[in-house]
Amino acid sequence: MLFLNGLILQCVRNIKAARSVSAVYYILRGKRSIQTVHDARIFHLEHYYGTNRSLGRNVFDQRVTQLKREGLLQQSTNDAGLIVSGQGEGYLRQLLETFPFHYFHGFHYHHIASIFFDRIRLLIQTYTNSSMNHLSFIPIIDDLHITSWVKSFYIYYKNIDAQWMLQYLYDDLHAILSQLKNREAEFFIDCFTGYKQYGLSTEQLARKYHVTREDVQLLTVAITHKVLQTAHERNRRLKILPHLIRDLPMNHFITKTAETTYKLFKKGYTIEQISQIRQLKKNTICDHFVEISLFDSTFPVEDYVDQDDQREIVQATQEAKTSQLKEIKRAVSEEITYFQIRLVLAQMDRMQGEYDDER
Amino acid sequence: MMMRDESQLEDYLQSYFGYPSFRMGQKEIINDVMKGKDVLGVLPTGSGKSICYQLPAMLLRGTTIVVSPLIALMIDQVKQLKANGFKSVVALNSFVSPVEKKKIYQQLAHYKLVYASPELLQNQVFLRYLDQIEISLFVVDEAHCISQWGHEFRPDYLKLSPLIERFHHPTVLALSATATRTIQADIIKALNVPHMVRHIYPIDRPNIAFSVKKVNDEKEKIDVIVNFVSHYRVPTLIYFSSRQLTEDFSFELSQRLSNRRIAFYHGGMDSVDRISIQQQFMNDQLDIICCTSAFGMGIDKNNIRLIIHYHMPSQLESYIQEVGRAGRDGQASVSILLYEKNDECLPKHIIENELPSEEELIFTFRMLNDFARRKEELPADEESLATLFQVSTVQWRFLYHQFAKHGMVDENVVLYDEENWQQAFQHIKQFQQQRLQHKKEKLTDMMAWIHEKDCLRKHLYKHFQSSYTEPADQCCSNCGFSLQAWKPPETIVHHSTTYYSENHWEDKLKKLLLIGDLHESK
Repeated sequence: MLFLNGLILQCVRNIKAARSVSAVYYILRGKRSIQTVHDARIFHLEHYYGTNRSLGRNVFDQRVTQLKREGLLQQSTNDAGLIVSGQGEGYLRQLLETFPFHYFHGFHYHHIASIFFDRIRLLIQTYTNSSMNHLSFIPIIDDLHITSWVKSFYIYYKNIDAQWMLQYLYDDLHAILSQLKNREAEFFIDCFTGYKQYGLSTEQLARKYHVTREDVQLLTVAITHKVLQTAHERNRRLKILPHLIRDLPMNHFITKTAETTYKLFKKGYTIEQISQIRQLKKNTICDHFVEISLFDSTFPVEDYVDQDDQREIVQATQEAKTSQLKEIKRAVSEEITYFQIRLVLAQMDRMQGEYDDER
Repeated sequence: MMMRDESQLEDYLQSYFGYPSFRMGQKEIINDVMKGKDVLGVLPTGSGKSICYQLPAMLLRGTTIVVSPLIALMIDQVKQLKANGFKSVVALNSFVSPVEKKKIYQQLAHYKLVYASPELLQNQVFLRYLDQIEISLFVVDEAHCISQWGHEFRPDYLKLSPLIERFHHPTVLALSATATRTIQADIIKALNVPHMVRHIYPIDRPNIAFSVKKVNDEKEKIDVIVNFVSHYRVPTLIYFSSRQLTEDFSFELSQRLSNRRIAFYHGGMDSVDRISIQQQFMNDQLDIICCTSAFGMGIDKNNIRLIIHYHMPSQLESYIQEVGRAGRDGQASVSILLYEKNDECLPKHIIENELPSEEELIFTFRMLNDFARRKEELPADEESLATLFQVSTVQWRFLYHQFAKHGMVDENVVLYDEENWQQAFQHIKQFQQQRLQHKKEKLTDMMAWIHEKDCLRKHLYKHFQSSYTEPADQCCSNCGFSLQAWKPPETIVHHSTTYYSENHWEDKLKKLLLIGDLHESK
């Protein structure tokens, strides 16, 4: 479980003992809570958000214990949290060279990666079999949402000959996979089922590529994110793959309840009014506002925190060199609320994120 | 109902399923069903029992309902039928979402063939929809589940008889692969369909040789298997009773036999992996599967040659079913059971844990009493009930059926009556002991067969039928069995089907998507 080790180390490294190790687990699982979304943002772990959606808590805990035993993780001296040891840093550097960490785009794709992957899998099986006039095959995916999507795709494009469709798929996949290492491209292709040739199971992939089953999942997710990202960016040059994601919602990382609040906010209701309408505590609505401000760049932070207070919070954050709310609260004037601090922190992170994207 | 010329049936078989002729028993059963006679059919595993209702379903007016306890089998059959172009078929079970179910209910009359789990047939909403459609044939698959002496008793099967009445007595077809005479009588009695025509066919398989091999330890088991499978490259199944062992053993075997393509299969794997392994095996991309009893249901591979039991099953019925997957094409096939001293402890342990113990029974009665005192209803969900009562879901199903039978519960309401409860407790306790005893006897039969000195073929089938066909090839290890004398056709491995082939990814992608020169081979 080397790839997973790498992800855990990388997360602990960024968090620097500011949170308990559970925060890492929630980020990897992609927990849809404000705290986790916020953590992923401020510690710059967005890419790893939701990359291990089926990760069991016991598997995770065992990994962490093992990493501690091997001296790669150690207890931080002043907090309860964990930090990466010197030895751990060296190990992480090696892993970063071996595994494609940079393919992950969890924040953008965690919720659609498996749908996209299943669609390609079933599409390839359908068109290869149809091209050989073999219509009685057992579909590799039996999820009803996927099968009915592929069916309607097939009907919609019935004017296109199966052989042409396969040629388009080949061109698209070839263009994308050429950017990958040979081994990764081969791995990805081995997952697919075609005409009278079934794809490899998790275990078979693990044996062939000398990785663990958990790493097979992670590699599949990583490569799928990479393919998704390319399909988005180059949607004009690719023929088929962009059609597979057109109907899938992007950036869907806001919680459902916050989304409801967001709709009311856009209609011009205040925090107090929304709290009354929704019969929720004011604090809950404040949580939603922080979440909203994380992704909506037009959110008017200054309506809730005036310029002077904003400056004071930013300064305290920089001086304290920490993202721990308690510390910052202690360092600023008494009348500044937690809500205000979180709004400003969220705004700082968003700006940081946009800066990163432009680079 | 329209009468059809009997010879026409072959034409339908050819056009719907692509088979030129019927297999043993199929035509006789179908003819009677088409005439509206109620039928009890006992046909060996792998003889195409499902054709007996699938073909009538297509020909009859109205809808055919198939009750089946095996959800995996149900889903496989629906997939297979759809793959063959028969679309008006649906499987209804706990895996179908409520939204999806409702959609299906509303167009129920459009389906020719509806598979349903016995639990769902107790659902009032579903039943009300069924009342509105014309049910022409009611099929009870795996009918032995209705008998408490069958090897897989399903309490819900006992509630089928009132349904037959409710649907105004459509034609009834009960099917099984393992029904002794006692069980056949039980089926007819429990379904309350007295004039059933019996079509009983011998279940022995003359082309399978039986071998029991006693070994001293686990290591010897492995050595024997390595020796066997390295001699022949033939489609092979190795049965285990533990999921973990299928994995460990397939790994060990791969290490020792690098030129064999080996995989494992069990019910704990995710669905894509299960389909991949199953289909790779169908497609001869794999030689050997290490599996639990979850593998094989609904698999129609006719050239499985070798079945090895690393662990013995707990009864002869399961054993007959599992070895019955070999040699469906009629070619000489071999079944080998490996036995190490004390191997029976594992099935014994499983049997003892299947039913609740007396302590557990006392505990559940106390819990139930609490519900009655608080005038609280039982939660609807089976899983949470099992957790609440600290038993497994299988145990809970057994218990709930018993409670209902003794009038201690009605749906979710607990009905307390001191005297009745005391009696019920004694009855249930007794019944449970009977069941346990029965299962233990089954295990004893299995053990007796393993230690049998006389002909294994004769003693394997003696509980089910009075005679058997002379073996086509070798008989059994007691009548003299030599592996060298077995000459099965071996699997030819095309380079293209080995998954370890080391092509560059571009070639692989071309091959996968049938690009370039591959088109010419079409």
